[in-house]
Order: sequence, then structure tokens, then C-alpha cells
Amino acid sequence: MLKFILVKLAQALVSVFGASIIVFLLARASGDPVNLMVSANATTEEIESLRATLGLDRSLLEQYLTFLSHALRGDFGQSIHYHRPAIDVVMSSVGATLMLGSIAFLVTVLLAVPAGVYAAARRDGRFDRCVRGLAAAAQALPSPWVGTLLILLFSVTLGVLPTSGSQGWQSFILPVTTLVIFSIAGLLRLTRSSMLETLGTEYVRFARVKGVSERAVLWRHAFRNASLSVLTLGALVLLSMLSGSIIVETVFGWPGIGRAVVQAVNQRDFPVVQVIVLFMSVAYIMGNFVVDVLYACLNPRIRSA
Amino acid sequence: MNTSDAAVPRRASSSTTQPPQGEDILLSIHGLSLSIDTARGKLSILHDVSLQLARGESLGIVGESGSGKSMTVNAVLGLLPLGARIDAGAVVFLGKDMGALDEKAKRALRGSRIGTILQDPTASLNPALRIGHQVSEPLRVHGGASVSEAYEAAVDLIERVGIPDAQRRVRQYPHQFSGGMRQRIVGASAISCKPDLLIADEPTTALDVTVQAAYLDLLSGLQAELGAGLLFISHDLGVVSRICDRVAVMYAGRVVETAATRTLFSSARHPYTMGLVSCLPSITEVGQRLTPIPGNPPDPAEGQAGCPFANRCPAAVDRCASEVPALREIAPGHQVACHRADEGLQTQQLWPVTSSITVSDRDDAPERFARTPPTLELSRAKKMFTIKRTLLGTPSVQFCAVDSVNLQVFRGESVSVVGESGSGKTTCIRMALGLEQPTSGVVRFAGKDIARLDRQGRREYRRRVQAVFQDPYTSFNPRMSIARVVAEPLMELGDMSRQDISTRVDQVLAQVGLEPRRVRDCFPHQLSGGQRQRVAIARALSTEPHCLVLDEPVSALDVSIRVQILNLLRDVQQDTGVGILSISHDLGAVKYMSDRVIVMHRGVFVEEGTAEQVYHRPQHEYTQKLLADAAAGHGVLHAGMQ
Amino acid sequence: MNDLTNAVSPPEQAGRPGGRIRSRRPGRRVLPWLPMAVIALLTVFAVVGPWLIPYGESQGSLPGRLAPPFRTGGDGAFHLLGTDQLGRDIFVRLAYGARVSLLVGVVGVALACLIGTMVGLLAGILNKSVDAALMRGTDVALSIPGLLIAILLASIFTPSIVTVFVSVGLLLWPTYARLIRGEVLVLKNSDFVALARVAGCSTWKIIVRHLLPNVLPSIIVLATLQIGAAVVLEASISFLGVGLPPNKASWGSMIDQGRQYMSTSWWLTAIPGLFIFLAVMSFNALGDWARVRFDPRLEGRR
Repeated sequence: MLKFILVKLAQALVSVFGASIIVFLLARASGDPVNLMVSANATTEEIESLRATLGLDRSLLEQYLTFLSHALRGDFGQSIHYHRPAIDVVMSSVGATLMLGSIAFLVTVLLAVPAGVYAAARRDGRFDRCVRGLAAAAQALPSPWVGTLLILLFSVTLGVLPTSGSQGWQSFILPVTTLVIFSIAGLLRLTRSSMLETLGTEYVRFARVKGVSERAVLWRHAFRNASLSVLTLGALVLLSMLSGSIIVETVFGWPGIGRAVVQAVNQRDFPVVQVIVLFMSVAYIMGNFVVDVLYACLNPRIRSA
Repeated sequence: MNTSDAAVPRRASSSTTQPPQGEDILLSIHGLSLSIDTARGKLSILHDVSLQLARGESLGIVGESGSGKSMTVNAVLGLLPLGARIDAGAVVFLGKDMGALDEKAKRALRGSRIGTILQDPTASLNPALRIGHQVSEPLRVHGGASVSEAYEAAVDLIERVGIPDAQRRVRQYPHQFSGGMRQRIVGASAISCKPDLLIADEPTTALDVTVQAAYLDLLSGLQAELGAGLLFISHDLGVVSRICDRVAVMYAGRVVETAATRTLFSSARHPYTMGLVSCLPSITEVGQRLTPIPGNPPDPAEGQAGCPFANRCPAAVDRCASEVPALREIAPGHQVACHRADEGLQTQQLWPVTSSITVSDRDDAPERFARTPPTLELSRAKKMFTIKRTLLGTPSVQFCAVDSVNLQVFRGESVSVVGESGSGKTTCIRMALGLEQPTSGVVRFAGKDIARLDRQGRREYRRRVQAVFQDPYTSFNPRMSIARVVAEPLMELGDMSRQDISTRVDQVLAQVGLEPRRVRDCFPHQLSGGQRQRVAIARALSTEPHCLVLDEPVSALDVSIRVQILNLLRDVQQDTGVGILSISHDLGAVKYMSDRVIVMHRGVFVEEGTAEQVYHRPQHEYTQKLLADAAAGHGVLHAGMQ
Repeated sequence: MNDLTNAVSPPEQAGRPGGRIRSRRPGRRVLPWLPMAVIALLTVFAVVGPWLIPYGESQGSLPGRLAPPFRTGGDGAFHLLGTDQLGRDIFVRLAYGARVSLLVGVVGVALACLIGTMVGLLAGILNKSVDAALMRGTDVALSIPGLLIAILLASIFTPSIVTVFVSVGLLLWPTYARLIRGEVLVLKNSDFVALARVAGCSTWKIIVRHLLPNVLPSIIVLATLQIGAAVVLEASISFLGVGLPPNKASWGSMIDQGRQYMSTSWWLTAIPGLFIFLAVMSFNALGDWARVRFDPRLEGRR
């Protein structure tokens, strides 16, 4: 098991490394930052000296190594718009996103997994068809639209919930709902299909011929195995939450990194964009790694190896 | 083969061969008819099936795929697949009509009063639960045992089925056990509540010969200990004969004959049963030729007017095509569903065993080719597989699948490699086919190393060496028509015109007993298993090969189809003088079709000789054990027929 | 060999021995006419709508702004679905938006399909180290949230429909790569591929003749399912204002622009959203049908 985890860790580190290269190249491709930093009437000497201070006159590889060594120390440069370290700008909004994301993730899992399991248990029954219909609808609902309509209904028309901001528990309701609608369909379908797969196996049949009750067959025999694939691909749900949070935070004016990245792009504040992209991909890669470790702990084949 | 005497099972020779009567009856099935709603409409799966089983008795149900034997078990367990409906009849167990019980009551019987063993031991156990949990689950579910009680019971149960070190083993997971052990564990779970009825659905089919015999012993021992009734489902008459007092033969959803095991083998009355008994290659002698049951079982979607076996039956008369014969008693305990059951039909008349030309009689006997280099040759071929690697990727644990073997195949001869799963025989032929590179040693075609062939030599190698694989369902690209499948090797050689290829395809299809016009444009899924295997042989023959490499060519086929294919291969060999290299775990099939036999065990050839020598005067200990176990699996057959 | 000639029964459907008989599920074989009709209507609307409706894409009149549906606006012109904050006709903008959505759906998915299939095939066929490298690359690509890619591209290049195509393609290809690789790994070890090698087929022929035709149904099914995803993605990109130039109509940007007038003019956001919903729902329904029809194993993979 240790070997399995080490291999996965190595893979995760390679992925992080790859992501850092992409982020670096994108930042370079996004144009010469010097043009944004100097005033319009700067002389060529001034520009050149700034380039030299920023290290832009060196080779791409050298620049990347500098970028990497700075990044490892948490130094991503100054935010062009806020005139303070980009990392600080991002860190001040990470909390809001994590809060929103984790609540939405929890709600998604608590709704999608049991619904998927019971839908599979009574395949093509009334509950199954109902759940499948709702999932299909949820998948087709564009979240900017859902968010806007929710605001229209609950904030503008009924006036019971705030339109934006993150003050008090009421302000969580609409963003969380939007995010859950955004991500629930995938997890639900996945749970249902892996349950259907395990319910068709010989060991489930064997449990039935042993007289095990349907409930125990469902949870102890089938779900225990299905949960492994649900877990693995559950990481993708987390990822889609990150994507979803960009939209949701924009719609609801939520002070998280999703909104921050959109603002930073509009303000052409690349150091901030860089940090956020890197943060999001590292979060996803590490999330995946944690899932792999959990998988190893739950799967006896790997645990005992 | 004096070992077979010891293996004659006591139960078959005991006197409990009368059908059960009165209060002794544990399970009875009355006139059960069952159908399933499918996309193709309503299919009738069982017709008027009646069976009875007494306490302490063992009843075997024998039939080919689609005969309805598994559905009968499902009906007994009350676990019918979606869309299945009982149209008529009833299953009465312990005096209770199962059909009248609700789901909860049926569940209370399953696992407690009825213990069941399923076919595939590797799939029957839940990979995520400890063995102890799974073995004792019926006790917890039905007996209300606590977790610790259940674990203690599990230790006892696992010891009882012969797994040592039970204390430690109950805490392990299924993947830490071998296939044979897993099936023992499944058995332990089935007997945990001391059931009145044991149902075993093909419990040994997935097991190796040497494991099979011991498992059957264990099963009958457990049954005797419990005094339970045993319902044993199998496609293999030989296995059934070892463990069952009585046998019911099913065909196309009907019971066609039931009799005491010994009676069935000595004086079967139904032509189908006779065909099955005579179709077992294991009881033939080297050089004999069997008459196979022709054709395929009927499709349940097509309605039957008369006897379902009529179109394959050599004794069919007009009446058979119009009137379904009823199952009637022709002697005490012997029931047959055949219009001509009283006419004293003889097996030898219906399914004659003839002697065939032996190798040495043929013009193209191997000696003729002996002076030329062998078509295929493995020379000190060795293959290692890496099982584990270190973190840096260097191999840390290696497994030697094939250890320096020498093998030669000449034109005109038939060489078989016999061995159990994991013996390395598959790796051998994969090396011979160039699908796997030997770690060391050489594979030669016509005297030349296949790794160093030039373009021309490669073409010649691909032309002269062709293969047929075990599973006719995975051997074809599902998106290619039969004509294209057969033509592919010729197309690749590229020295024939389209027209010539088409003619050649028709020719080889006809050669393997298919009608070219009917199958050319079919897709693989439209053909039955036997037909596909014929197509596979036709494809292999299309390039006029000098050597056919066969990977278990008949083991995925039904009993009645096997002899058809084995005969076809023998005929092809005689007609074309092609050399055959085949691998098999089936000693019977090997004996039936080989001139030379090689026994493989753990990567090495332990014995090599003519079929005659290996089967009658085995020298190596392992060969002797293999033959003894196989014979033990077919106890009554050997005792009854020889 | 005359005992063999009657061995041939007519080539009827012969089930795999021991195989389970699949029971009938109602409605699985009929074509999903409703989603197909919706998609056909949307396509016709996208193609001929701009010609038939007597307004231009960005032709507005301030007196006629924010006219509700089915009313004559302040400038005396009739607008079937009303006008937006600049007095532009919503119906005609929806038609232009449909062009964008459908085009992005088809081109973006085709791009994803092309990249993903290539990567998946290569990873499946070539040796283990190439496979590992390509799969790590796929992981990295998956790890960057899709919308961020779009945002970044938009901030680097001038936003246009091409950047939207590329964003969608970059976002969706890893799914294909994983799917195709998985299938190729299984097919590569199948008996029929081994037999093709014995028959002398080159790797290229094996790919073209044996692998591709067998992964094609999965590709088609996944593509249908992903068109819906691409439409939602385009809407989200445009909503964030990083898609098409602002004066170009897109369903997503229409929602965004209408948000400010939400409390008074609900139709500005509600109607484009409804169109997205209908289009995506139809493509997904079609994809689900195709999945059940052609490849039941794909369930849950998106």
C-alpha cells in the first residue's frame, strides 16, 4: 500500500509540475507585463531596465526556473491592480470559496449518493424515472440562468433572501443551491450506474441466495464495492465545483477566488490570475491524490498488498 | 488404469436408486412452465418440468446451455430474473408451495434451509468483505448470531472444508485465496446453517481437473454429513455420474429422461441421452471415431410443434415432428420422453463408434516429413513475466511462465500440450505464433528464427502458420462480415485477386461444413458458438497452412458440438496434411485428436510421448495424478463402460 | 463429411450460451422523436431565422427598448419576444445565438473528439512509457478547470468564436482520451486482434480495421452527449463576457446583459435561458438514447 501511495504521490507531483509549466507559459503568452506596468511615455531605457529587473531578458527556461523557485516560496509577484503581493490578494478570498464549495459538495453527496443507490435498486421504477428526469433537467440548466432566476424569485419578488454577499447563513442558500444543481447530475448518474453494475455481479446473487435482506444486499454488498468507483470519480465533481464556483460567485457577488479571477482578467492583473489558476489545479490534483489514498485504504486488494 | 476402480463413487453403486416417495420428499417440482419477456417477444424457457428429490438423495440435472437447467434452479430459489414468469406448475419445498410464499418467507428459506453454490468461485465472493464475514453471513442473517459467534463459527466452517490455518484465514479477503479454495469457502457458507437442501450450480466447471475431483469428494462428504438433499447442475455427464444417485437430462426446456445414474449409462432410452453418453471423447480409445449429435439446439423463440430433439435425432419418425412425447415411466425409476422409448433402440446403432485411420496408416504420416525441418519449432524457449517492480521500475519479482522448452511440430502430425491453468501452455503457443517474444531461446519456422525473417520469410510464416482460439465469441471483430473475417489472411498476403479470394472463401466455408451462401454476409453475432468455431477454422485453412495452432479449440463449446468440431479437425488434417499444435486442459479431447501428447506442469514439459504411451503408461508422477483425477471425475463412466 | 452439412441451422440469432437474456425495456428502440424535433427546429431557426425576421443583430432603437414579448414597443415596431435594453429584437438575437451555440457545439466537440481520439489511440497502442506520459498530460489538462482555460485564452487573444472553439475543444478532449484509451487497451488484447496479427496485419491496419470501427460507437455516443455540455460551456463563457465580442449575440451574454434589468424585464434573461435548457436537454436526451442503443457501458461517463 505504501508503494501505491508513493506512486500516486509521484504522479500528483508530476501533474503539479506540468500545471506549473502551463501556467507559466500562459502567463508569458498573455503579453508583455512591462507594457502594463510602465506609463505610456516611458523611455526605451526605462522599459529595458524594468525588463532586466523582472528577468524578462533571460531565456525562457531560466525565467521558468526563477518563476518556480519564487512560486515555491509563495512569491508570485505584485498584483498590478491592488499593489500588494498577488498571493495575499488570493488568500484573502480563498476562505469564502472553500466555505461555499465544501457546503455545496456535502449537500451534493448527501443528495446524490442515496438517490443514486435507491434509483439503481428499483431500476426503471417510479423513483428511478423521477430521479433520472430530474438529473437530466439539472444537467441542462445553465447555472448563470438558474442563479439569476433564483435571485429573481427569492430576492427580488419574494424578498426573503439576500441577492449577494456572504453575510449570514441566508446568503449561502441561493449560491449553494445553484452549485448543487450544477454538479448533482454527474454524481447521481455515476452512483446509479456503478450500483447497477455491482448489483449484476455474481457475489450479489450469492448474497441473495444466502437470504441476505435486500437492504443489506444494497448497502453492505453492492454499495461497498460501488463506492470505490464513486469515490474515484467523485473528484471530478469537486473539479466541476471549482468551475461552477466561477459562475456562481459572479452571479451572487460572492467574494471568493472565482469572482476574483474574473475581475483579475478584466483588470489584466496577471499575477493574480496565475496564482488562482495554479491554486485551483493544485487543489484538484491534491484532491485526486487524497481520493487515491482513500481508495487504497478502502480497497482490500491494495491495502493488503 | 487401476486408479479408476478406487474412484468409483459409492453413491452411484448404492441401492438408493428408486425415485423418492411419500414423506421423504424434500423438494418436488410439478409441471413447471416458465417464460421470459424479452425484446424478441415471449420466450418459453421451461416446459412442464417435473422433478423430485428426497432427503439424503442427490439428483443431477444435466443439459447443454439453453436447456433450462439454470432457470430451474432459479425457480427453486425463488430468484427469477426480471421479466420471467411462472406460467404453470409449482415448486414444493418442505411441503410448502414456494410460489405462495412472500419474498420475506422465501428469503428466510434461502441460506438457512437451502444452501447454494454458484458456478464461478472467483465472482461469487464479495471482494470488499472478509472471508469470515461472508462464510458466516447466513448464521447472522438467519440464526441471529453475534459478530463474535459468527466469526468462531466461520473458523470451524472453514476448517471443515479443508482450509488450514483457519484462525488467520477468516480475516483475509477473497483475492488472497486460489480458485479452488474460494469454491470451498463458498461451500462452507452454503452449509453454515445446516440446510436441508444443497444446490450446486456447475460448481466445478471453473476448476482445474486436479482440484475438481477433491471438490466433488468434499461436496458429497458434506451432503452425507448433513443428510441433506443435493441438487447438482452440470453440463458434464461425467462429473454428475460421480456424485449423483439419479440424473435428469434436460433438453430445450424439458426433462427428456430421468434414471438412476448407472441405468442412464448402461441403458439410456432417449436418443439424446445416448448421444451425450457416447459423445464423451474421454471414454474413447486412441483412433476411434465418434458420431456427433448433428445440428444445434432449437431456438426458444421458435415454437416447437413436436419433440424438440426431432430434427437432430437419427431415430425420428413422422410422429416426432408433430407430437410432443410425454415423460412416461418405462421401468421403476426410469422415465423417458420419447415416442420410441419401448423399441429398444441401441446406442451403437444411433451413434456408432467407428475406428478411424490412425496416423501411421496415412500416406502423409509425419515420417514423410521428418527429413524436412519441422514447420514450427520452439528451441530452449523461455518466457519470464515481471509480476512486481520496484519504485524505479526494475523488475523485483519475476515469474517463469515457460522454462526452456523444446517442441517440434511436423506437417501431418497432431501434437497436443496438456496442462492445467497457469501451466504455461498458452504462453508456449503465443510464442509459437509470434505474439510473445521469448525471453531467451528461439522460435523457428521451417528452420528459420522467426525474429529474423526477411520480408519474404515473414509472409511465408504468416501464410503457413494459422491459429484458432478458444472463445468463438471473442475471436471475431464484431463489425466484420463472415466473408471478410475468412478473407482477411488472404487479403493480407495480397497475392490473389478479389475474385479468387471470394472463391477461396466459399471453398473453405464449404470445407468446414457451412453453406457459403447462407453465412457469407452474416455477422458473427448471428451465428451459434459451433458455427463460429467452424468459421474460425475456415479462416485458418484459407491460406493452405502447414501448421494450425489451436488454443483450446472446443472447450468453450457445448458437449454435443465438441465432437462435431473435433471430427472436423481430424478430417481437415487427413484431407490437407496440415500439422496441428493444440493446447488443452481437456484430457479427453486431447486423446481424441492427438498423435503426440506433451504434459506441461509449471512451465516445463514433464512428459512427452505418443497418445497411446502417455495415456496408458504414464511415467511422470504428475501425469499419473492428472489422469487419475480426470478418471475419478468420470467414475461411473469408466466403471460402467470398460 | 456429410454428417456436418446438416450441422448448419439457418443463421438465426444465437445467444451466447449461459448468457443472460436481456428483458425488454419499453421505449428503448423507438427513436427519440421529441428531442430530434427540437434540435431540427433549432437548426432551421438558426439557419433561416436571421433572414426571416426583419431586424438586424445589433439594430436597436432606444425608444423601443425593453419592450415585453408580444407587444409593440415604444417605437411602434412589433417584437415577437420583446426587445432588450438597447431596443434590439430578442427573437432575432436568439437566432444568431442559436448559430453560435450549434456551431460551438459541433466544432468544439469535433475538435475535442479529434484530439482526444488521437491521444487515446496513441496511449492505448504505444508502449507503457508513452501511455504514462500521455495520461499524465491528460490529468494535467483535466486539473485546470475548464472555464479558467476559456478565461485565460480570452485574456490572451482577442475573444472570437475561434477562441471559444478552442476552449471547448481543450476542455472536452480528456474525456475522449480516457474513454478511447480504455477501450483500446481492452480491444488490443482481444482474441480477434491477436488473430489479425497472426494473419499478418500491420499495426496501422489493426488500428483502421479492428480498433477504430469498434470504438466508433462510443465516440459517437460521447460526442452527442458532449454537444449539450459544449452548449452550456459556451453560454457560461459568454456569460462571463470572455466569449464573443459584446455586440455579437450569444445566449449566454444575453443572460448576462439582461441580469441588470431582471427586476423589471424578466424576459431578457428568462427566454435565452429557456433556449439553452431546451437545446441541451434535447442533445442530452439524444445522447442518452444513443448510449442505451449503442453502448450501455457508457452510462455515467461524461
